Amino acid sequence: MATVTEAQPPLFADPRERPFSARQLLEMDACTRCGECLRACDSFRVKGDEGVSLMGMIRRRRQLFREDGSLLRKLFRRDGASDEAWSRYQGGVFDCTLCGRCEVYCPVSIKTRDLAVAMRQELATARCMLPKNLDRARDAVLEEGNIFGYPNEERALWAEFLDDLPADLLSKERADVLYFVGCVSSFSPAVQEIPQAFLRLLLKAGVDVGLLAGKEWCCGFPLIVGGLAKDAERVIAHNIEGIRRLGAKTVVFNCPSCYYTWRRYYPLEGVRLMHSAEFIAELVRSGRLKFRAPETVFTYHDPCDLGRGLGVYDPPRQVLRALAGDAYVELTPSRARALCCGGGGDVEIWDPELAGEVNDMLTSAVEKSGAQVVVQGCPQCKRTTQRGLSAKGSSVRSMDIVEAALAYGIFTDSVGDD
Amino acid sequence: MAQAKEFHLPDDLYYDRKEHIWARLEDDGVRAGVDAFGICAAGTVAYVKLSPKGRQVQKGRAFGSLEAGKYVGPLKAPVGGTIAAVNQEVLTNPGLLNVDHYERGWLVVLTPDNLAQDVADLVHGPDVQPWLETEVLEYEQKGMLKKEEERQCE
Repeated sequence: MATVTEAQPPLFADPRERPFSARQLLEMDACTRCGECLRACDSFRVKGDEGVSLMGMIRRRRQLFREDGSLLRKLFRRDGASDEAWSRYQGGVFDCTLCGRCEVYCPVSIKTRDLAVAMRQELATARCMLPKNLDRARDAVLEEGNIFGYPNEERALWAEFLDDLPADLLSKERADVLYFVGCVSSFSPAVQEIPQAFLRLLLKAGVDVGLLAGKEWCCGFPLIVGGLAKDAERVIAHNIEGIRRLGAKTVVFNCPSCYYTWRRYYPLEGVRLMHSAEFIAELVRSGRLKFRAPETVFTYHDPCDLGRGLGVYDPPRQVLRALAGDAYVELTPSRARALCCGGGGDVEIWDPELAGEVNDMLTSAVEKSGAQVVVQGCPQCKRTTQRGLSAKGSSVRSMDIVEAALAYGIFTDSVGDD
Repeated sequence: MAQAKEFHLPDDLYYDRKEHIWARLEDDGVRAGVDAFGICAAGTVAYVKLSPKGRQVQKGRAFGSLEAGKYVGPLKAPVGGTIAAVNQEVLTNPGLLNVDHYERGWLVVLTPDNLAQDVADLVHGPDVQPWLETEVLEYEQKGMLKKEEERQCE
């Protein structure tokens, strides 16, 4: 794998030198233990352990600060915090799905998600306390270029499954738009229909689209949220080189986690980044995409990284209102308070049972909404939700927004006023 | 028939040592699927995707992908050639891989382009038994297979 050149400044601070920013230290001090975050925390509801909530993590970390930094310890050379105490703290920190829901509830405006990630950075990098399975995920990304440890030259297999694949798509050297597919959509057969549908939609819209195929590497998200941000610098540098080589001025994503990582951490200028929901909303606004009315009730689930992470709430709703009209129902709760699918924060890698139980709350809310189809804008949400609905024997179907747009959309040649 | 613990592998088939893909040489091509041991290690199959008929595939490259309880990964071709037939039944009912590995759970039929060379490194005949025994032992030691009393493989 390529390495970052020496001239490139580091994207991430080394957590061994300074695990928490001044703001984060203040936030830990400012937590009043009001317990509002417990109301928001799905992992807490499942586990019943305060340590998985941000309040519990802060309380445990403050205790560790006290035990490791006490004057008595220094004077009498007493041992610091026990391994058991660190291990208990670690369990809570890595059971958080990083959905960020608690941030909406926190009355003192703690940036909960960033703080939880900083805690992971400290544990994984500075204290070598990376949980089981996450080390394998790290090795898979760094050795193969993807989270599954799958041979990366097979990354475009999902496209090869198409019987109408344009002959030159995988060998194109230049393109206006790069479609960055992401690991889950590329490799998980459970959701490979999503990139297939998005590619078809892009081609129908007349977009000059290119793929990095086997040269696309993981975006770095699982490393960053797993506490291994320094390792992510290598994959970020590689993917930036890919877009430069292709000459694309726009990058489109169907994965909110990839989109979030690119928007937040990729040092790019003059490149437009768009999620599929935003791309489709533009087609609808311009009048190029219309829908034939389905006889189905739709609802929409906000993916954490797209909604709370990037504030993209309206474009998917604009699409679904155009698609379903009055047959669109809002999920309760939704938008900033939307429930997590359980698939975030690498929790599925480390504790798949917890991920499944968190998802159970979402599928219950979906069933209660009366919708026949839950539309999502995230491959990981779809993976967990369709599995959860199937386990319940539910008749509700899960669809990605690109699948819904392709299934019910009609392209018109007339381009309206934008 | 080779057997180690509950795993039965017909010794008239050819096996990819690493991928646990079986190949049956037939008059109209090479039929391929996942063997009983490989599918037990993977767990309950939830999704299968296969390349369409007519697609060229090289030996060792993916002709499909599989997602099961303990495995998400490629299905690699035991021999190179052109995909002549795809099992549509297994696409709609992936559980067939778990219950009928060698008959209804087949995946594709390939028209081979270099059969003699491609089968040379596949395990066949009397070599199947010792290879299977070694695989079972190694998977158990590495924790890649559930304990015998917890396994529910058919």
